[in-house]
Amino acid sequence: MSDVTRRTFLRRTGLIGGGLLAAPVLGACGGGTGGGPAVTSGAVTINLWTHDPNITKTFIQSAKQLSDAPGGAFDYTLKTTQADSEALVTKMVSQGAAGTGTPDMIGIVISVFPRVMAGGIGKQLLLDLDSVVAPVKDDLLRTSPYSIDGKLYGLETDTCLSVLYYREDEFKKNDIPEDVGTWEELAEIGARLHKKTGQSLGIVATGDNTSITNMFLQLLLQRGGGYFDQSGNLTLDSPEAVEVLDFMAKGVASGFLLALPDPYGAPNTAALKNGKLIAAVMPSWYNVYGLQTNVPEQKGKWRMRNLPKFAGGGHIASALGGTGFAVLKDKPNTAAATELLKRTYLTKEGQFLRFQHGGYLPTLKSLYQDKDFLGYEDEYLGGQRLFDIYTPASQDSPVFYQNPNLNVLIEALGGPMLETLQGKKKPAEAIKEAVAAYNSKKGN
Amino acid sequence: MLSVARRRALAPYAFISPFYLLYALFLIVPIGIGGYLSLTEWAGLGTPLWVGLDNYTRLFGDASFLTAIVNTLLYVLFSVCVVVPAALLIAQALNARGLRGRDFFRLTFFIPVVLSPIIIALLFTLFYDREYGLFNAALRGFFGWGGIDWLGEPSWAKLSVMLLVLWRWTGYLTIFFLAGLKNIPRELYEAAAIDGAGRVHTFFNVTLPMLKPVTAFVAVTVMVGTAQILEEPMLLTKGGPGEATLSVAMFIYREAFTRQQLGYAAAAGVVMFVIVFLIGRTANAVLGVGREK
Amino acid sequence: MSALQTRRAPAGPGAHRTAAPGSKSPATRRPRLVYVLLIALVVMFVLPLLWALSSSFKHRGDIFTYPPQPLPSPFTLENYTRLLDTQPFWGWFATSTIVAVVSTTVSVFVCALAGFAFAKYRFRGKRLLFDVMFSSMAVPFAVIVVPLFVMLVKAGVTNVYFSLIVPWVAPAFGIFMMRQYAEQAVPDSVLEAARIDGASEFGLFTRVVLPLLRPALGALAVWSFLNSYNSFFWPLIVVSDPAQYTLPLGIQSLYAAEGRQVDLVLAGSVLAAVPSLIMFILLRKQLLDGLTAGAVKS
Repeated sequence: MSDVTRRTFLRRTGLIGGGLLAAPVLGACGGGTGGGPAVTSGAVTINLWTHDPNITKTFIQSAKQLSDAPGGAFDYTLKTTQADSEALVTKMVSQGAAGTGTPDMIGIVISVFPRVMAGGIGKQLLLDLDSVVAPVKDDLLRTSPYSIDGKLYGLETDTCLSVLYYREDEFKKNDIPEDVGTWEELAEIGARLHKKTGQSLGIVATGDNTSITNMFLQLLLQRGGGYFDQSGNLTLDSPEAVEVLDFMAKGVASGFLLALPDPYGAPNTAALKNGKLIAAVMPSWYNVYGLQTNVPEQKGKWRMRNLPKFAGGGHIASALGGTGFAVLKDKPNTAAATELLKRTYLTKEGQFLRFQHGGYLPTLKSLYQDKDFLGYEDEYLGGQRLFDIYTPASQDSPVFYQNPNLNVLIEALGGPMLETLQGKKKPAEAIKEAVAAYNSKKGN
Repeated sequence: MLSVARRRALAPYAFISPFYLLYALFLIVPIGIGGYLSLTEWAGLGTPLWVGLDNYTRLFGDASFLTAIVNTLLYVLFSVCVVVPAALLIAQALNARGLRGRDFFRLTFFIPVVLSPIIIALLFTLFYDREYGLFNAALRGFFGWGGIDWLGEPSWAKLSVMLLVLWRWTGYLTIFFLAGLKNIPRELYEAAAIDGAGRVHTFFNVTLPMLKPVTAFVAVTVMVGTAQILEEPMLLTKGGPGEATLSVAMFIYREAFTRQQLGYAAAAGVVMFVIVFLIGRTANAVLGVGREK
Repeated sequence: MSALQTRRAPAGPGAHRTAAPGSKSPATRRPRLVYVLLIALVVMFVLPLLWALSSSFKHRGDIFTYPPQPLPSPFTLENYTRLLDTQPFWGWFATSTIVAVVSTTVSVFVCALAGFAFAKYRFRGKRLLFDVMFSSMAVPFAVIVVPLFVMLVKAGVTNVYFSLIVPWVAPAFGIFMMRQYAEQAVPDSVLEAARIDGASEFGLFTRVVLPLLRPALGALAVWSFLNSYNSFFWPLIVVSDPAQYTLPLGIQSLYAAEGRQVDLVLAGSVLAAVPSLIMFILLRKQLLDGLTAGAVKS
């Protein structure tokens, strides 16, 4: 079928479909789905691509609940593909170019999202979700990382709020207060601790450029800085960036921070296991993916708290990572996929399910006041009530602005930053160098 | 009915046609499309936008591309100057008279090539780790010190990639030299011995000249192969730290599949093809590999 | 044949094959040094693999310890059972094997046929055709990936196996190798004799040439098999159903996940290596001799 006939076909079926869809499936979130669904009710097989097995589980269960719910329009079967996050986008674009075989829904990792901002890919393939989220728009915590030209193309899976994880037992043993107020104080304590016991209170990554810069970005956002502003201008060349990089470099030099290739790999596991690493600034998902997976035997010994502040200002939280879930537009299953996404991502039931399956934090502000979440106690973290920490964090979390040239910046920043962390370059120089390299390489 | 002579004249065409059919379809046509794409701006969807030679002019002003070319040349240089001689040396040792277990050794050295590069690269990532890797552990065990930041220090990272190349390919190349050595007529050595030539002298005056065709084959294979190096740097370091290990093939991959600049990547591919082609041709002309009579 | 060759005694098959190793031979005087060197190399080449093998029987937490443990204690098969229970490992295995076997069969056949033609016939355009093919050995695969994929899908090819096989069916190296081998292994006199007996040209190929090419066929078969079996980049783009992944792709997906499932990666790597190693060990003679034939006797 040629493109033109296919589009006309979809438009026609869309008209009919739109009419049939008038019966609202989810009262609360109702509203038109737009687009052109060919499948409007009954059995539907949704093709879902994600890099994350827990997301797969969540969607399978959510689809089952939605199919079983009285009055549900669709009877869902899920066909899931799990692959590397980069590979998924490569495949989606190739299939898109070929005109067939694209998924119905896809999870696009935040660092990969810039790829769909290029060359109009997002606009050509993905459904504009503005009307879908309209009823809860003001309740959404994060939309900027998955927006293109002000339109939303992906729903956040996890708010990824960063907290400070720490070993309560080791802190007690070494007389480290659990409520140190500022990073600067903690750095001093960390330096002394390292001299005494060889332990560290945090990590910096020295592996590939993405890992290196991620740790920096996390602290930079907390400090109130950032890579880009809302209109896409580079804002890296700032005193905050220099300050944060300087803080990290000094931390590595003093032993307060431990240099490791990445926060998931074997070396990190080893450092956790042998008690060399007893604290780390990490996003919410680190509890499940980092700690529980790698050091299950340390159950009960870890706690978390909000981040110490930088003396110079900033937030008490940060964020790192995330995955935007998108629906492909103009496909027969677009409407069904949209319903499933809404159920899983915009309702309390869905968000709770996600939280249970993978520790994903709610993406709706209101749920941070919800008693089911507030009452949740985490066994691994010694029965700690997580939302005592997450709720304030959610209210003071920085915004990350996405940019099509994010990858160029990461490549430009990685090298100089690594040299700085190794003590071979001054922070200010490194930032200058990265900015210059970015400007010369970004093209267009 | 065709005459015998006619049939014999047509036979070679019939024999090469299945190959060339597949070859044209699955290589030449895509190359043509790639050549066209190099003159366009294309993110992978929609209609490519014709930009003429813009991609090429941009390419030659792109510091990353130049870095990638320099790195790749270093890899090629390393393979030719280190991997090839190492293979020759090992072959020489394997060829020692009266050596027992030659087949065992030959077999063992070949194993790295048999395994998937993915698996090897994943293993080496673990070995190269500064704190917990096998290499530093071994250094600490033997020398009491092992603080090399294999993948984090730009020059060490380059070397780490090279060492992986050495590990993966030396055994493979060894078997070519070994076959070459076995093929040297015994009389030549006997003649040299009668002339009273020493071992070193014999090596340079008998062995090396006789190995020239093998060496040429190995050298060209290695040059062309290393010039396309992708998996090693991609899986070990993703081209980092910074761009210290970025190769041309990786540059192409990165532009195409992490930045969606397929036209630009295609242009880089064309340039790479030209460079590799020229290297290969020059080497062939000098060394005489695969040449027709 | 290169100019260099003319200086050498013409090497028919078998000629000088058994000829002399080394000069008066270092080995007879100092074999011990040679053994030390070779054994050190064996350790270098094999140690990493033994480490992987040993670690695949360790619990995840015991894999990275300092100092490293040589043997798993406690020994566990859990990594293997968990891999087989939670991942479609046999699906990966089937894909890799099917694709490798088919592409090997096709490529060996077409390369032998064409290599023979290049070695033993004179025909118009031979030089040009060979040069075009030979220089394409330098085409970076990254350049043709996207066009090739779009081409396949536009042509309506939806079969994953077909798509996976395509890039490996016409390897330039195969022809090069076959030509080099056929040049010396197939004497013109034998061909002439068969022709006089009335053999057709194709009959000549199947009945006379193929048997003579057997070592090279074996070598090319192993070479093609490994190339396809170990391929990663193209499957990454073509396959979207995890059940149809190739082994390298499947194993990489275990590592790519945030959890970095190193334990499963190791178990999978060991299992994936088994067929390649068996095949290699069974056909090692042909592979080693056949591969080198082209180079040595060029």
